[in-house]
Amino acid sequence: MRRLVVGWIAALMLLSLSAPALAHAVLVESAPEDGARLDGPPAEAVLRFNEPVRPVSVKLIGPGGAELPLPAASAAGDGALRVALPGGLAVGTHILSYRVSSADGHPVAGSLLFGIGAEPERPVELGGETPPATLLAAAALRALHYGSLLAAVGGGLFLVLVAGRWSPLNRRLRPGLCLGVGVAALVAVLNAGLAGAVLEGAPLSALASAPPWSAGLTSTAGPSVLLALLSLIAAALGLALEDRGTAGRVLLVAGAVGAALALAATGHAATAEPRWLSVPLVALHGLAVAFWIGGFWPLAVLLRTEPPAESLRLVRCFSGWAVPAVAVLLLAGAGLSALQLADPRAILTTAYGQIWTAKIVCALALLALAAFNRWRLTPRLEVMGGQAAARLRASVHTEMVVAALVVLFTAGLGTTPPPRTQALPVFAEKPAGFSTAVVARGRTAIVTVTPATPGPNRIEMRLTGPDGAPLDALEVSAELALPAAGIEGITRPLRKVAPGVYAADGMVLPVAGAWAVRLDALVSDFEKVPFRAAVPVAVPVGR
Amino acid sequence: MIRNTRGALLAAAVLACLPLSAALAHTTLETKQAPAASTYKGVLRVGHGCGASPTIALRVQIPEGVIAVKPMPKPGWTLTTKEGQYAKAYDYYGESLSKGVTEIAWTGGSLPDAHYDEFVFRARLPDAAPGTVVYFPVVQECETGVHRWIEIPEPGKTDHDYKEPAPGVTLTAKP
Repeated sequence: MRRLVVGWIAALMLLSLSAPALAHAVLVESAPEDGARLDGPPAEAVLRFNEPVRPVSVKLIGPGGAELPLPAASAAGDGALRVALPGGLAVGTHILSYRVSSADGHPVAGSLLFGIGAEPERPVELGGETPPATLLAAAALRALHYGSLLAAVGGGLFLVLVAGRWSPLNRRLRPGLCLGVGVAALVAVLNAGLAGAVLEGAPLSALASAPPWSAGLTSTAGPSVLLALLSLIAAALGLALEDRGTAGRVLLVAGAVGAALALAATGHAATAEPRWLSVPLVALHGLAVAFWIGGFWPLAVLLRTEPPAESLRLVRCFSGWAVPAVAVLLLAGAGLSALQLADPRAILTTAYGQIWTAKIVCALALLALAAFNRWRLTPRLEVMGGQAAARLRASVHTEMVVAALVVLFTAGLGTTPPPRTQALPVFAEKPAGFSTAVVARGRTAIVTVTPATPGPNRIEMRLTGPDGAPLDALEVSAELALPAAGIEGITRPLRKVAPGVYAADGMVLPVAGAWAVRLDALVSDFEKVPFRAAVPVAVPVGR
Repeated sequence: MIRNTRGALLAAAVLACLPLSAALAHTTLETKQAPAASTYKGVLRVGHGCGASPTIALRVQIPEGVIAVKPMPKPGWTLTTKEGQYAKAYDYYGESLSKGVTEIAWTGGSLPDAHYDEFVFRARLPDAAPGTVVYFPVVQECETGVHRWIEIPEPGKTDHDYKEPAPGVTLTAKP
């Protein structure tokens, strides 16, 4: 029996560790690029993220504002999302709006604008934000999920570790704990639906339909909820079998471990690098918390029902276990904080840091209360009996309230991007500039001028052959002219920076205007391909 | 106002640095018009080197559709040709030609910038619609530097819009 349980736990651990080991997804590049002007309708759109993503929804909005039907987007393992675009797209501005879920279960959404045969016009406002009611409900339910799950399985741990076998107290606690398990299961299921609604950016009313549920269950929240439900079933079975022998007690412990692992299966605490460290830390943190907050209600009950001598014995026993549990909890929490915050300055400068501070303040208050209970109120049980028990019970109730705050802030941390993800260099904003795709003699050049303002500019050309592969040229030169101002061609060679990519830095465009850019690519000894583009050079607003 | 002045000065500076004009002698074909499907004597006229550097090689690419090419040897120059498959077979006096000369090269000579010379070949022009321009891209190699007379005008443009246009011959109606 024991071997079976150990095997089950090991399997669960493997399951939670084998998930992709990455953090928030970020769009790295796209084709067509955002703001691109295309000469013809593209056959497909490719969005490349810094990690594998799962598409939640991809929409194409045409020039008239009407949504155009799209086939399902396909995600590749390398983070590329390919969307086949319908043929016969009209001339004008198109908006490709996407929503994907990253490995840590968080939604990433954005839009690409491109114009076919015309400059894309940026609309004033784009939809796609998650409704605040959904976010708020999701955060509240996440807190309830953490609290109810850990309290339910933690109550089971209390039976095993503190109350001991065949205690009459267990019979009194069992109905309440069974109710707790049921509530926790219900909340866990609801949590998956709301996580899906956040991913989809859907309003709360959408929970009546299937999409948010399937989105939630297919993201990393799905396995986590499944694991939580399995743990709760184990805990429920454990409660039923608890007075029959070892099996029930093993099931109760397995339930607690499973619940801790369920928390480690999703969320950004468990996806911080290195995962071999963050996943066990989350699980240990969760297990210690389960023991602690799972003990509150049983303690409050026993202080009311048990005679003072028995109360004292049980409280001392709980206290004995609580010291190592708190030590584990603090160490694991400190480790996770170090991973997530990355830089101590983030505590003050980011929303994540502020919520973290609030959580730590409440957790310290909780610790102070616990210490007061252990060293001041518990000894009084011996001398003052029932009166001291009432004091201690009131103190435990206070602890419950403070613990609820800690759990609430923890859920807040779970919905706030941690500083480590913001420290990623890929978040660096792209410099503004002008980019366009030019097709000439079967070859395509993507011409980019940055920052496209008067002064020095960088000119870059990405050359691809008829097969779409990067094309190397023998020589590439750029000629820039502003005929309207009588400025004839300024010619400069471009140097090769990568296969098919040529660039020149510091090309001075002296004045604003519609510059005529011609890039000549010598693709073979006898063949020169000219690419022409009109590049608007404007004085930036605010200068 | 200050910015405008600065902009104008910058523009003036840029203009001053530009070469005056590209009105230099190009490498061209002597006969610029010829009937379609006729036998054509192409005379490439080389008027200058690369800057002051003498010309040491002239290479011509034969476009698809131009067949039965025979270059004229030239004293002091080594004549070589490259042969290749045509995209399709062409009828030449009842004979089907599917391969032939695709590139001619005169190398090993030296033509000083101060002198003028001509390089000659004979070819059968394509049987295409009148008005079609057949371009013969030419690479002129010098001791230092190279001129690539290979620019083929884009639609709506002419030779005059380019610095190094490819020599071309415009087809007229068949006799």
